[in-house]
Amino acid sequence: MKHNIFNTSFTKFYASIKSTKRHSTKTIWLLLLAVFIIVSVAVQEFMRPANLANILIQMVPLGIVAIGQTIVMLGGGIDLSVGAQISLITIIASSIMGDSTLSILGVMMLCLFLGSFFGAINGFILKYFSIPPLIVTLCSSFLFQGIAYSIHQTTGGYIPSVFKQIFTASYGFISVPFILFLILFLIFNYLLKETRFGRYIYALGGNEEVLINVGINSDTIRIKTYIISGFLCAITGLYIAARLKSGSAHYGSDYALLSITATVVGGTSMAGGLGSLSGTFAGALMVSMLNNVLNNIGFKFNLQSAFYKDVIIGIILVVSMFFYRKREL
Amino acid sequence: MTILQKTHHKKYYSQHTKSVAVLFLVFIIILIFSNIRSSSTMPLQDLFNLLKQTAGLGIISIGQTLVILTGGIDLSLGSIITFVHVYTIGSMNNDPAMILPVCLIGMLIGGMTGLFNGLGVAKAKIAPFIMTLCSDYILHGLYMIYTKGQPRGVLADSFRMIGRVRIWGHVAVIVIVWIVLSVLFIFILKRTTFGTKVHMIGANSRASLLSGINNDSIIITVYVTSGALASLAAIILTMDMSAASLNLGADYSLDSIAATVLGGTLFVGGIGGVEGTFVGSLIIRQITSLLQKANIVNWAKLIIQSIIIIFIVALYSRKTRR
Repeated sequence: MKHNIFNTSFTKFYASIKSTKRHSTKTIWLLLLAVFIIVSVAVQEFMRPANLANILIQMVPLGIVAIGQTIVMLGGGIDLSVGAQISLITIIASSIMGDSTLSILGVMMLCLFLGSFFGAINGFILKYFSIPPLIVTLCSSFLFQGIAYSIHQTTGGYIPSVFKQIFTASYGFISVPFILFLILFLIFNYLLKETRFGRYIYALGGNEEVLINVGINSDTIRIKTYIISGFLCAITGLYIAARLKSGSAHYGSDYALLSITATVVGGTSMAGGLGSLSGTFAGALMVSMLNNVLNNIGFKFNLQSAFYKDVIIGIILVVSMFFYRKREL
Repeated sequence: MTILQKTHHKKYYSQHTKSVAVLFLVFIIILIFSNIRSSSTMPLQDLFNLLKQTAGLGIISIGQTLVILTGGIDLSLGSIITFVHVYTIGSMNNDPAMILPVCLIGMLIGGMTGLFNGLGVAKAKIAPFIMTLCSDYILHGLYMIYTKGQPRGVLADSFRMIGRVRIWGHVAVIVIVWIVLSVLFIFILKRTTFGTKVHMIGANSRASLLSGINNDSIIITVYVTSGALASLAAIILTMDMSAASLNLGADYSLDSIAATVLGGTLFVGGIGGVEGTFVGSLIIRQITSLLQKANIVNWAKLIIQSIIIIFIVALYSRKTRR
């Protein structure tokens, strides 16, 4: 008898641990703080204000893509084509942008529209052919990459200086890109947490059948998540094109895996329905912080840090997937 | 398995053989079409060339087929190939005594990567494509560290001689290896319990677990096989080359997926086989060489191939739903 009581209370206790683990993004923020403290003690150059401001700026493109990736993943999908979409947008922007204000605004609008259109292509293929999202976005990433190569084989194009100045202006810790990221973060956080559409996204990833039975068109919701992802890719592409003043078919190539890393490290489940944008924020900060530290160390010891980064990012993703795996069983 | 399910399964299998037959027809039509256009005096020579070009992809696609049959996917094959290729050339350094150890370590690299993938997928329950994408990334970093961005080294002459051997005057060694491996794996998948288990895990992993199959060990074996086959292909492909290249493996991940899917293996797993993949890889290579002949550059190949995959997968998924 006693054994029984112990057993049930233990299961309850275990369940309570599990449920707190499910909803908390505190863990990742605490982990981020711990890594921050360790790094600031270990690497002296890290704590310089200029470097800290740099990290905030460096995380912006990754952060924006990761917002889109999180929304897609919450809906139970995945978007592997973000990298190719970003590359394509940088190429389109840099090859048609002119000096006049009208042209800059027009090209920006066109790019945002095209980004949403690319996302919609992914969504519609998913809807009409019923292929797993992994395959659709893997194929469409090669499709976009091919189109990007067809426009430009090399790095090039023209971006007016005004466009760069507007997009990259910064005063110490306050910079235009970071504010842009914060605004987007707040908008989409509101969208996910407070609106009906946000609830539908969680429901789509959590249990699609329930959503359908309630009478909601789940395909439309899914297409919308991909459109959001494409739209955010377009913003990232415009920002990268502005920062580097050119377009290239390689600028986006890392972002598919990096955005998945930021999202998964931030606690969003690959199966969908679990996770939050604030976790992704922390994940993106973590990735860009580690990136920065590795660059610092690499510079010091004259290593080829870019290559070590690949290895370390890959290992981080595997390890974080390993730690989160219990929730999905 | 009830009788109803059995007949159901049989229907799928007959559909599969039918689609493989159709694929063979398509391939022959493409072959004839391309032969009419080419001005070569020896029609058979074209075929031998095609077989030689396809062999590497064919060997790799066998592993990919096994993995996809269990419901997984292996995106790390491209990086395994480049790593083993770069390692083989870099470490051999024109020393005949090094041939055997280098080849063995090369095989070990692929096998260990496969083991890593398999453990991650089977034991840690990580989604296959994320797991293999990660090892792709890690391997990419590792071979860049190994080569410092500039691959170098020389192959031993006796090693290159093996690559130049032509059996019956025409057939390269790699073609023989490819055909032998294909036949072997067709036999394994169709006639051994291991093959049945692989199919079963893909069709319904829970049912296979409940019927006493050790899913984890089968999945790990499959990933290790896939990695080892990629290594083998890389070593044999390297025999033909005089200098190392960092781009050798770049296309193989997508190409092998395309060949497998074209050959009628379903993405959800459980249905398909190496016989379809054999034809699938022939068709993929034939299309590539046609595009090259027509002077269409690499980007068009990317676009056309991705559209083909989506189209084929859509076609097959329609078919199974019916």
